[in-house]
Amino acid sequence: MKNEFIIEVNHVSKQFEDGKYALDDVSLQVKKGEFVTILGPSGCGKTTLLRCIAGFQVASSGDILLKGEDVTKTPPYRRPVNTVFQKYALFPHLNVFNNVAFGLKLKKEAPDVIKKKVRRALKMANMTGYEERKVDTLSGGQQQRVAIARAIVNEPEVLLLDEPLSALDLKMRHDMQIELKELHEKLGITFIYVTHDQEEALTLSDRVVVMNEGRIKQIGTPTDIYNEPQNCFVADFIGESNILSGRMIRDKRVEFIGQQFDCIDTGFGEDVPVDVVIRPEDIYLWKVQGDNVLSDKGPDAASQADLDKEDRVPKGKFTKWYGTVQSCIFKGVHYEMRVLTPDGFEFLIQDYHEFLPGTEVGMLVKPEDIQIVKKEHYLYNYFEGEVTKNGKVRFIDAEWEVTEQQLAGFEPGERVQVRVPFRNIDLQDYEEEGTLSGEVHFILYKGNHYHLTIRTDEGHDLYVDTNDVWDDGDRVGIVIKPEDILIGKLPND
Amino acid sequence: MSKILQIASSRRTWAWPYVLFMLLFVVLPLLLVGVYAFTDIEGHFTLRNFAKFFTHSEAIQTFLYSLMIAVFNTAICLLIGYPAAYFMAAEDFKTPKVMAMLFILPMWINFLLRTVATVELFNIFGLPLGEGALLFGLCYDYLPFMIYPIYNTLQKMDTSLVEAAQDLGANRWVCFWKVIVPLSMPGVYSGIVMVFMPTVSTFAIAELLTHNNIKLFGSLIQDYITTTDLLNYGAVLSLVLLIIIGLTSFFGDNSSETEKGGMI
Amino acid sequence: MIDRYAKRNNRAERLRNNRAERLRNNRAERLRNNRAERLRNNRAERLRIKTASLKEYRLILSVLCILYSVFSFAQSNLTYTLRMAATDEVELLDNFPAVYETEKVNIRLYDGGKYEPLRYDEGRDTVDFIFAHPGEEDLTAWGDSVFCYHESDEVVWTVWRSKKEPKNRNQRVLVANGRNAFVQYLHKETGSSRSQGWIWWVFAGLLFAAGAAYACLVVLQRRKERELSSVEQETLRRKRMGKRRHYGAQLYLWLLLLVLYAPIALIAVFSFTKSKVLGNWTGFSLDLYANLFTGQADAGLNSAIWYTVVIALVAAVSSTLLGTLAAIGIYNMRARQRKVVSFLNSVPMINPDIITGISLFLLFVALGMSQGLATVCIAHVVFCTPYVVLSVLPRLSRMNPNTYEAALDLGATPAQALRMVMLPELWPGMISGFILALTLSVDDFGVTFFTKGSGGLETLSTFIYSDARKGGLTPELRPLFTIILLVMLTVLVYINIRAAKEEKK
Repeated sequence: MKNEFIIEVNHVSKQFEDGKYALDDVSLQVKKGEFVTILGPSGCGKTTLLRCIAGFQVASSGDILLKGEDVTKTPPYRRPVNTVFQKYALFPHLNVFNNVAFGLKLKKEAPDVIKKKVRRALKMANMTGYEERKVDTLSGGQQQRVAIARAIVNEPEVLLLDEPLSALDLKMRHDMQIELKELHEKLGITFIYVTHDQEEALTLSDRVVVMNEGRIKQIGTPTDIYNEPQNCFVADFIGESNILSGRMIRDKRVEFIGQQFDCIDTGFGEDVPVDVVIRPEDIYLWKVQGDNVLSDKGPDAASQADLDKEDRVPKGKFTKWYGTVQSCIFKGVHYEMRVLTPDGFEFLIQDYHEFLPGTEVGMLVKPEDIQIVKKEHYLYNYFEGEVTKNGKVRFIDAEWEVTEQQLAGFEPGERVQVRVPFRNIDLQDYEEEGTLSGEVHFILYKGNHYHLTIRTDEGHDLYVDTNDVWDDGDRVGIVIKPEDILIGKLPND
Repeated sequence: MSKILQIASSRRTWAWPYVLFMLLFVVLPLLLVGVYAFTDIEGHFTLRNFAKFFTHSEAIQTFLYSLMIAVFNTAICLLIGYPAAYFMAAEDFKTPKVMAMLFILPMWINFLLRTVATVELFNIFGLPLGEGALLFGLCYDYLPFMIYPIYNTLQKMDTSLVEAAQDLGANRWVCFWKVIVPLSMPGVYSGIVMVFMPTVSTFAIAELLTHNNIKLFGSLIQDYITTTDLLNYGAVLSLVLLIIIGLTSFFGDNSSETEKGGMI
Repeated sequence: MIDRYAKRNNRAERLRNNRAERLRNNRAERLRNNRAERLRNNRAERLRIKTASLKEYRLILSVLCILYSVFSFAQSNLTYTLRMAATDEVELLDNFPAVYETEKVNIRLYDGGKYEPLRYDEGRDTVDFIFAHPGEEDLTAWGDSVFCYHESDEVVWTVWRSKKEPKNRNQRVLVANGRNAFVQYLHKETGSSRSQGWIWWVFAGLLFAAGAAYACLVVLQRRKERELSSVEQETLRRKRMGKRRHYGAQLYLWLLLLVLYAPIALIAVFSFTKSKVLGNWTGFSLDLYANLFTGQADAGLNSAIWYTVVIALVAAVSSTLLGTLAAIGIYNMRARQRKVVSFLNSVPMINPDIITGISLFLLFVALGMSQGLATVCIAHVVFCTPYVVLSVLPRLSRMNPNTYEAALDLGATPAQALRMVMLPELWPGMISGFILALTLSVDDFGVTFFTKGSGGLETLSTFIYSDARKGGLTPELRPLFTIILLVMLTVLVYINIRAAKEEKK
């Protein structure tokens, strides 16, 4: 066995004609018989990656190997892979049998062989008895089964599934998930499955590839992805989480919300800004009797008595903190509470017990449940800019006014580095009011503020910290005060 | 191998023969109208043709008269056609769908033949063949072009909008004026363009309907362009018409064309 | 595993069936109950209303009958007058028979002043004839030529004669009066000639009748309603309110259709008579149809039909091919390119016929191409193709873009995928584009007129035009277009019925 990987994607990039990258240096190896899910929000490049593997699109750079053979530029009809499309893509002018037999007929197989194979594939997809039906008379679920049968009848080495269940309703989707999983076991071939539904990804796959903005954010087993997110994006995208800005004091010691916590992560260095991820179900809650909170010995001492009564909360030397329940929603299995600390940090907490709004509660988290994530960017937006002749600075395709003292020492035409603090970018409701206009692209709630990614119309990304509430896709005008634009020399690299 | 892929992925080249064809037989001829307008018979550059137009009172008068007739005709078609389209499209009138087809069917009879028959009809009723006949005939010929786009927009209109308006307290009348009419405006625009443009340029209909007593701009152009030594002057007149058409289609914002395509 | 699924499926299906059946049963029962009850309650009311409305119809019918008989009687006593606008004395040839005023027509001649000079078509024109003394119709034969002189030009007039009364066609009328004949030109200023005033009387009568009938109805109904209970009165009132609106709209639409179809009906009706002149009934006859099908019609008409068919087929086939290719190309273009090409595509559609015709005419003149069949075909392709593109494009965009890829994925080469997947899906669009191109081509006049050249090439449109300018229509056109109308009507009705059926499915 020379090569254990059936598919190798090596540094593949795909640049569209408008210059935007759909895929940006993506590498991925898939073992034979594996069920790999590519997960990501819409427009993250996951479908492009799948289409590159299928051959509908050709990678701009990098190469794709199938069984060790370079297929980067091989047309789709010569690849031993088959695809199940999002909207089924059944041939409307053919009946079920002819749809499934399409590939076999092209291979010029004998009619009785075709018949046998088609019947077997349809049986596999639980669609026996529908051979003569027209495809447009079938329900969504039935069409999906035919599409699957059509793909597997060709006995491909790899089955690519492009959001195959997205057009089905919830109940149907759950049934089909089970069926797909069983089909995978039965066929023993490699499945590459694209979806934006995290639950689907976690349920089905052996390995999950999380993608965003054309890049792979994390590859791992479903448990890894959930429990050990490597960045804020994954933490936020998979499941729910409390993401907070923090600071690594030293190994196994982190500070956030003004308190120090023990944790188990190492290797971040000392006194380094990090993001802290805590899953809502990992925070323990207990009720604090109103009077005790105001005790002279401090809340810690006061609530120890309450805590001792709660046998479901782990005992030990944990850092505790306190807050008031803001809202409580029954979610079936558990309750979901929003708890606000006196410092203004908001926590999302899930617990089997109900804590009514207004209740004073104590909170603690075990060190192993604190996930430390490297900060991708910190405090400042960095841009490369140019000083213009009329005393302004040009960056991200716009001219900005700056204060004179900032400009001192820079000649017009000189290339400079521009820093803008996250905090000091104003967003306007009306895009005309801004120097630039853009769209809210990504929202991260950091406990006491929102961390937004704004994509300008020219395609630049700006990070903004704000207390205002914005929605994904909101159009905003971007304003930066002259005194908030900091200019410095370009770093020499 | 990669060549095949290239051809497969660059199917946009398939439009090239058509683009070439259109450049040769649509764009070039239109440019030629301009070229002929600015040259004399020998092909030298001249502005005399334009000078002739602006001093040629018959041409100017005919032009203005044609414009007026076209405006009148468009207005009449709109006044008659809008209610018809509304009645056909509105749910509460329960008009069979065949009705819409019936309004289009006459267009399959040659319009000249229909015009001759109209003349005959006027004779039977003893009506004079003049402006009235001209307007009637034009309206008769172009009414379907007004009804159909309006009918189309009205039919495609989301009925829940009307229900929402009623829910918010609008009575039938208010609902009609504040919701249905504004929403049907795209159809009205394309109807106006589709009626106005052919009317302003018509030539055969007027000739038959008035026994050549009333001359419209189209007939004038036809007279000049078919006379060899006045061809260049004819081109000037065509250019004037072309400008009017351009202005009108700008007003109609090209939206009319899809409607016409859906007529079958 | 499959067993488990089969079992589950079975159970699900059984459950579903049961539920559906239960629902069905319930619904049916409920319906039945409701219906019975409603029937019981309403029968009395409905009966009463029905009898009332039945009587209304009878009333209207009887009034109409009476009125009609009165007016048809009155009509026979009407006299006709003919006012002449301008007269032009024409010398008759010696052998021109004497003709007299008919008894029925009272001719007053007076000098109407100036008139525009007559336009001649190829030196040959037709004249509407004639006032003949009863019993002497046969003295001039159909198609006889008489010479008359006008401004020293020698012109040959063909005599066309109506057998009954002269029909004023607001055209040139040759009036013979004793030894002299007059060519009459009627102008718009002087207005109507002999007016068939009785038609207005009939209309007025009908209107009056309808009004009277309605008034009677209302009175009758009011009287009836007084006998009904208050609840019944209310339902009746509501019903009437709803219906009145409905009828108003229907009436409007049908009236409009009546006007739209009147000229066509005229053509259709007069296709069953032999007379040369439209509007002149000389008894039922299928001769025109026979002529049309045996090729005994005018030679010009035959060749016009032939050319029309040839040009339409050539134009439709080539524009369908060109347009489908173009549509696929445009669909695959990037936004900006697509915008440019679709604008180019819309130009021939925005351009009125006359502009397309003239510009192509100028092109052919500039290129020195001799105009004829080829130029007409090119011109027709020019204005047909955009419509084909527009009817294929929606099919493309409605097509699931993945189906083509699915075919590739299953091992089809691009050519195979095109043939086996794309073409079957585009087929309906291509067909409708083809039909659209056919009808556009057949119907076209303006473009053909300017591009046909002077080689004698005529399509139906231009043939009708030159025919009409000569003052008459080749009679065989009437059956021809009657047949076209009927065929189109059948096709449309068939399409509609099929669409309705599919919708029901």
